[in-house]
Amino acid sequence: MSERPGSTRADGPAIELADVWRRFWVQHDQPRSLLDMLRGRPHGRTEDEFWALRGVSWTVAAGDTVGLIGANGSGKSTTLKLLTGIMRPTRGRVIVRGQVSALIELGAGFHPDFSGRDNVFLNGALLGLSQADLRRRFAQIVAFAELEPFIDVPVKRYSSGMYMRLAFAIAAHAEPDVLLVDEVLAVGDEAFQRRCLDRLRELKQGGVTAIYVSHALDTVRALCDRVIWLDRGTVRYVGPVEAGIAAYRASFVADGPRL
Amino acid sequence: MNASMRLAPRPIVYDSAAPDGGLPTWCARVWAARELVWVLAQRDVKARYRQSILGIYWTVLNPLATAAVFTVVFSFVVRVPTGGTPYPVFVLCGLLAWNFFANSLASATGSLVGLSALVAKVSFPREALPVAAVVARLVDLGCALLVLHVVMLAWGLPPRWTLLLVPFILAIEGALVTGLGLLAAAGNLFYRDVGQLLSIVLSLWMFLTPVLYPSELIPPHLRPLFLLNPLVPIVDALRRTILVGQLPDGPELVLAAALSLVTLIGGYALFKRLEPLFAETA
Repeated sequence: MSERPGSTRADGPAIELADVWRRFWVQHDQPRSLLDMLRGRPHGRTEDEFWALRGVSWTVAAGDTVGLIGANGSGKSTTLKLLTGIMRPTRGRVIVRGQVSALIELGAGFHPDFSGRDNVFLNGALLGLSQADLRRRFAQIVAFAELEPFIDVPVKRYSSGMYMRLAFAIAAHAEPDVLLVDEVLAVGDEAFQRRCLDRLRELKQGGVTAIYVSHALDTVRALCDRVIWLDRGTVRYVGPVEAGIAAYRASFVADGPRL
Repeated sequence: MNASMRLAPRPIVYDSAAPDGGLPTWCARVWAARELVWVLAQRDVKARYRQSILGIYWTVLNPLATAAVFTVVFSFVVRVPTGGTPYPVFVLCGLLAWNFFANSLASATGSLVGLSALVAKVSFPREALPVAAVVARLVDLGCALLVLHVVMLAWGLPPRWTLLLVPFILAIEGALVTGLGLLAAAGNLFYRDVGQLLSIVLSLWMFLTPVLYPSELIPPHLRPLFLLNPLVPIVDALRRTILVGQLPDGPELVLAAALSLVTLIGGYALFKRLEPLFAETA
């Protein structure tokens, strides 16, 4: 992979997970009464532990694009949260080299009463982009989202498609070293989706390291060099895309339905 | 894509096992997030006056109306000795300091909960939210200071040269409220009781602070106890410098500054201790 000029990448793999375990406490709310509270049980809650990741280890070399696949509850989203640093592993170690940008929960920072324009600058700031850069790229972001006529309308008047298009356009205009994407490509119409894919390919050619979490296996095929298949918190497969997807698909039949 | 958009400076290598760098790293983090703080503060101010006819004028009307109410009560019904200062001016100055404190603390407390979807999923410097809530209230503070001087002129009181000291006194108050705000914002994310409790604590705290009465009314033998409340010397110092043209009481203000700094550092340290749990709690 060609090194981008001015890259801030340090030595070593871009992403490293070493024997990562992550526990959650699952709370079960139970009806509580005044009597319970008087008896010193103010919460009426019981807690069970749940291990979302159980001893996961893998690395991604700088410039590689990896798809993270697996059923619901396999630990994909937890993995992304550990990579962005908003959660820490219970045991083990996570190392990410380079500046990270995440396409996760797009538009969460939007203020519904504010115009699209104001939200570009607000959301961009939350994503770590400077106001000067946002001003410079503003026209491009708006054009990408195809929202020129509506950019001064409060986003609460936007359709959900418009909302997500603007959110994607802002996030996708960052130029990170490491890109984390969680199932956000099911946004907008076909033409917009194609533009999203083009933009992601462009970032890939620029040498970005990327992790795609997706149930859309076609997207994984279109973008990834390798796949990692997570199954109930453990790594079941690491390797070429086609073989990984085939093994994952075969498991539906072999393991039967869950729950 | 041409000219690339650079991301704000952040640690280039993230290592979950690396030890927390402590105060210097936190300060660097806040400094790196100054633009975010500014944008969030603007959002706060704008959002407050959306869908309102009087908009920003409320920042002027609010303290004036409150001052009018207290003036009726405390200069006609009950007479409070103010050492010659007209009561409306006297109370407006106290309210300026108090409203900044109480409103900043209240909005900081709700700041993380208000954006919990974001706190749960997106990585950004979390301290920016409570800090921005305090910064946003500086607009109200500025307006209140202006209104106060208009009212002073109406009563024939000129601006004092000691006004130049006011930013330093307000910096002490800002440190105090930021420390408490960080702590309350984090606490409120775990237990919403914090927000409820706060309104009770604030109403008591207001009466323990010489907002409506002069600090000379505090019994002398209780004064050392009252000085544990940094707002007592702060309000006193603001009245002296803005209204009378006197220098603040040095030792008392230094004590307030020390207590405020301890609160800021302690509040921030606790905030950072709790921060790793934010994402799963929000």
